[in-house]
Amino acid sequence: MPLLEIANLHVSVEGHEILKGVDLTIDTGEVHSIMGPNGSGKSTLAQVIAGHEAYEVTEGSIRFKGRDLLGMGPDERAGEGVFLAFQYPVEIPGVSTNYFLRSAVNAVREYRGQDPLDAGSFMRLVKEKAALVDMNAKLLSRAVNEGFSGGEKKRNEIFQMAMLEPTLAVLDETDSGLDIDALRIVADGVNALRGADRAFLVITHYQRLLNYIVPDHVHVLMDGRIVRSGGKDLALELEESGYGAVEPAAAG
Amino acid sequence: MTTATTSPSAATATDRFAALYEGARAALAGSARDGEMARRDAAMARFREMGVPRRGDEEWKYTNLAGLDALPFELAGAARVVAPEAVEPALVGAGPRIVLVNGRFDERLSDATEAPAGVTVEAHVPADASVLDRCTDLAPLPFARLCEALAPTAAVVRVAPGVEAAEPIQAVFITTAGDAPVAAFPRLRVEAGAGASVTVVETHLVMGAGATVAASLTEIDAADGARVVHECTADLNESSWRLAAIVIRQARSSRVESAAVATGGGVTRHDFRASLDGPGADCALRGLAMLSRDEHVDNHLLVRHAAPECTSREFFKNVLDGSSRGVFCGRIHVDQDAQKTDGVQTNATILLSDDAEAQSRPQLEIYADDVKCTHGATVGQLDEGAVFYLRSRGLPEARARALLIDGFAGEILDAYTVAAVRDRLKSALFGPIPGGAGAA
Amino acid sequence: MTQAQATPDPAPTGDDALLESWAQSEYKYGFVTDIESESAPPGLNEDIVRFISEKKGEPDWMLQWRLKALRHWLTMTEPTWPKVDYPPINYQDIVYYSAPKQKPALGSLDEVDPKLLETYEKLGIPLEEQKMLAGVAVDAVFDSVSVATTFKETLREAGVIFCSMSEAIREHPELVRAYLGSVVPYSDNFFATLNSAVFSDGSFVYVPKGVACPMELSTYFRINAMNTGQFERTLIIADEGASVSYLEGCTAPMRDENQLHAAVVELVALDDAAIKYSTVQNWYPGDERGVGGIYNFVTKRGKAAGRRSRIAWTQVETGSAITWKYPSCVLLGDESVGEFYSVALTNRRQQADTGTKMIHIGKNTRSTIISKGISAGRGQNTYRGLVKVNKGAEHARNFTQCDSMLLGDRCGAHTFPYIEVKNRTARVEHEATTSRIGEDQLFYCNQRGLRTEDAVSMIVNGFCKEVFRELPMEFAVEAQKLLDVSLEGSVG
Repeated sequence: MPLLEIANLHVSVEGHEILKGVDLTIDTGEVHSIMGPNGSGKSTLAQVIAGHEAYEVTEGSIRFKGRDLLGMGPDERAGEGVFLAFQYPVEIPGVSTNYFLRSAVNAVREYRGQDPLDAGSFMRLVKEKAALVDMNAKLLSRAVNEGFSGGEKKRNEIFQMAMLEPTLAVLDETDSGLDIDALRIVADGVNALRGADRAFLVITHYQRLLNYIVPDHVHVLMDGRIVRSGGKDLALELEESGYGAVEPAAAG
Repeated sequence: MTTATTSPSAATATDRFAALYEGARAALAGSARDGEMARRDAAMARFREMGVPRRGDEEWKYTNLAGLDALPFELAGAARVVAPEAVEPALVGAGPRIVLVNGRFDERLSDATEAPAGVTVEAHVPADASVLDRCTDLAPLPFARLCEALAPTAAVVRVAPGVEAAEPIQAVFITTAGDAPVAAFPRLRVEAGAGASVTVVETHLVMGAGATVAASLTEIDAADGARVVHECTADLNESSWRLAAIVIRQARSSRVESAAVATGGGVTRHDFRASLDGPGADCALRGLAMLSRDEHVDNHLLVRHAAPECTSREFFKNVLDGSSRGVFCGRIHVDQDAQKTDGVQTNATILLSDDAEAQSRPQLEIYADDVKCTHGATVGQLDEGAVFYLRSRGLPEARARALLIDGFAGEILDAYTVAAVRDRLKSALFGPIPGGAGAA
Repeated sequence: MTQAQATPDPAPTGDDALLESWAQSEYKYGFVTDIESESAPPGLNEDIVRFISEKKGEPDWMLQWRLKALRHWLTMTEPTWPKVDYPPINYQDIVYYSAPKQKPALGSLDEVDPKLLETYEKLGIPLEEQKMLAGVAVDAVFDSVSVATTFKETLREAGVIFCSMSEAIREHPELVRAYLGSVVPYSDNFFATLNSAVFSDGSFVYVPKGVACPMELSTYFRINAMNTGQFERTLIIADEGASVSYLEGCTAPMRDENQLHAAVVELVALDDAAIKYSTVQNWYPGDERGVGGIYNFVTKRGKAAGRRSRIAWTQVETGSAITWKYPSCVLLGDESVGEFYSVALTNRRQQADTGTKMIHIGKNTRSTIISKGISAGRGQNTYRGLVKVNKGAEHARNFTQCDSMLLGDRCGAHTFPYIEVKNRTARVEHEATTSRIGEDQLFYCNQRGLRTEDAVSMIVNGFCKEVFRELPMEFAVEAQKLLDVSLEGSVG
């Protein structure tokens, strides 16, 4: 049974169809990348997997571990192991990152039938995972994403991913706005989390990120459909010839 | 009916206004059209019900009208002649112009012959006061009712649907002060049809040094998609009382900008009222008071968001010198259905002297949840750090201060779209600045 | 001298009806203690005032002060300017005195009526061990009369006087005479004047020169007995260089009739003294239909009387049907400092008109106002505040931040600041915003696994953080819980 199975997915926003029949299957342990020009529907796909209510699924299905994902609320999906690293992480004034994360970790643990972490174990976990993305401990006592630089926000997303230990992590243009050093740190964090019991869906506009997070499969999304799929070499090809040259060879 | 007394020792200003009405009623009735006297009587009755606001009236907390009681004013005379040269400096351009002297149409000074097709500029008594009615749903306006009752006529600007009036239209209201105190009731109405566009310059001139009381009413009615720019200036004297109501009704997607600057004057009160009745309406109100001596300006505003997705901006500034007093009281009221309201209100005051006083009440009253409303108020003095910085660049202290004040006030003045009005205001407020630079 | 006859029985309490309503209540603290009480007949006149004064064994000067207030009150009218709506109050229907039957001189907790202690247990007020371990002295006010005071010894060693107002009038008349009414005069306003005439009891604190009070002082108020108005009177004096932190927390039993509460709190801080006064107010707010609930008309004012005096008010107001409350600071001394931190929450049909007054009189005085209003259900929440800079207040500074959050589209959030400046060297800044919880914020939290209800609670608490951090730790925790409880069911 595949981990994630998207079949004939049609999605509209305020009456405009954005996704026009997407099929995508991801198995545990795999890293998939979705590439495509602006406006092709990449972020929509990410938001729909996470369960944003503004997007209306008009046709098709998403199954996760064999269960219907579309019937679940976003918090239930998180409990099931779906994580979305946001392209634009949201600020929550007055709520410290530490407090936020502890609430989130324990909510997810509760969903999974695990005991909540006590303060000591939580702090040990924080220390361990923060090191993974070189996260400044000072940021953790500040309000969630408030006053964070672009790079700090993205790092915070990967840090949270590490804390929540998802089965499927969707990275929505995590590379946008990052300089090369930050990019490497984020990629190192992701790579450290790669493993047989976890899958990644890396959404990006540029091939650059894929130098650091090497995917098993690459898909090209254009105008709401996956028009080509291939191995990691497809990303390099796109880098050279651009999206304009993509032939809908492997369209599903 | 109460017996009117015209004796100069009438007990209160309320009684005196009532007496003026009784005295003028016969003459008004002589030229009245259908239903006009009934409307006047009703307006007067409403005024009498409320009377001149007394101490203890929260809306008039900082503007004391007790001085009106001691003023034995009479109606401004009908037969005063004003020389064209006296009006000339106040004119702003070649567009159509209507001039009322002591509330009466002055044909000699007016010039509406050039009004483009679809635009009418004329003097008559409006057949209704629906904009005023709408804008007093939440709180009354006693002096606006007084003006409705007593204005002999009104300057009425009408723009037909879809018509864009290229040149600004000017309405000039002259009050001639004499030895005895006079009362005047200037009334202006602007009606912009659907998709019409017009700029109206409202100019008040007090000629002479005697005491005047002017209760003025400006009504702006903007239909769907109409655009109205209203710019008001007043050249007053030291013993003038200006009690002005500017009431605005806006339909869907209309935009109205209204600005009022007072120069000189004794006591000035502006009551701005805007009712944003159609979705997507956009309203901008601005005001500036640069005061000295014992001048007093009280800017009151109430912007009602009655429909969704409306925007309002209210920017008011005061620069207070001498023993002047600047009052601001602004309220954004958001009805329950007015979701997606976007409202911003600011009031900033600079105190230049030890005896000047500032009062500020920026208010929000909100009954809808999906709104973005902010307000801010600051009171302080000129930034001494900035003064020092300018002086270190070689500017004398007085220049440095003038420049900073100019910059502070400029934010309001620069929003005046009619260049002639802006320039007149700037030279009235700042005078020619030595060395020439910095006045722009 | 005529004396009003005390009714032998307490005013009819309708115990059955109350028990029933308690059983149906959602309000956690809604119960009524069955305890014998001794009450005056309803109504207000000079005889009642004399009765109260006599019951409390007061000296004549106190009685005369009360009578002066009563005579003045009879000339006053109830204010109508607050943005609150309630049916007219018949002041002649109210019982102005009700005391638990009291044994003379309580030396220890053992002597306190066990039912009282039980009540406090239910309220979660650990009057005994836990509290002692926590280092907090408790002066519990049940209805109108203080019945228990602990930690007197420790305080006495430090020279701190912490007792009931009644006791202070008897034992420390010179202090009471010098300061009572010195901040809130008997003629101050309708409700304060009423309080001056009939005040029942309250707390008295005096911290002598140079003493930092060795513990947080706390008092719990409870309203009981049908138709009994509550008229606490509290006076706190910090002498030169002294400091004290005082905590006030309140809960009230469920009932169907509105109850009037008109307290007065006066604070006096002399040179270099600091007083921090914190309140968590959790009185019965009434039900969804707006039935029941406390009317809370409070006058709280502090006088920063000396150089560098500091007064800080922190309040978390989640209860009461109507809140009318403006804890204020009169900044008389040069360089004195006033602070006001407030969270006010209105849900169901609650109405709050609350804020502060900062009166700058001395030179270089500073004030800070942070107000957070939360409206839910059909609640109406109004911030009303005055910042006044008098002519002589050179270089006065004020900063005001006033934020509102709306949860739901049937509630209201209103901001009515008043700024009056008569000195050009002053700098006054006021900012206000109105917002609601963003859908993007909720989605982000959901995506991290948080349920919407928890996400709302977290965001609301974050919104209030600047205020909560001013509260003593244990109060801050309580306040957060209180917000959650008060918001239950308000967001879907």
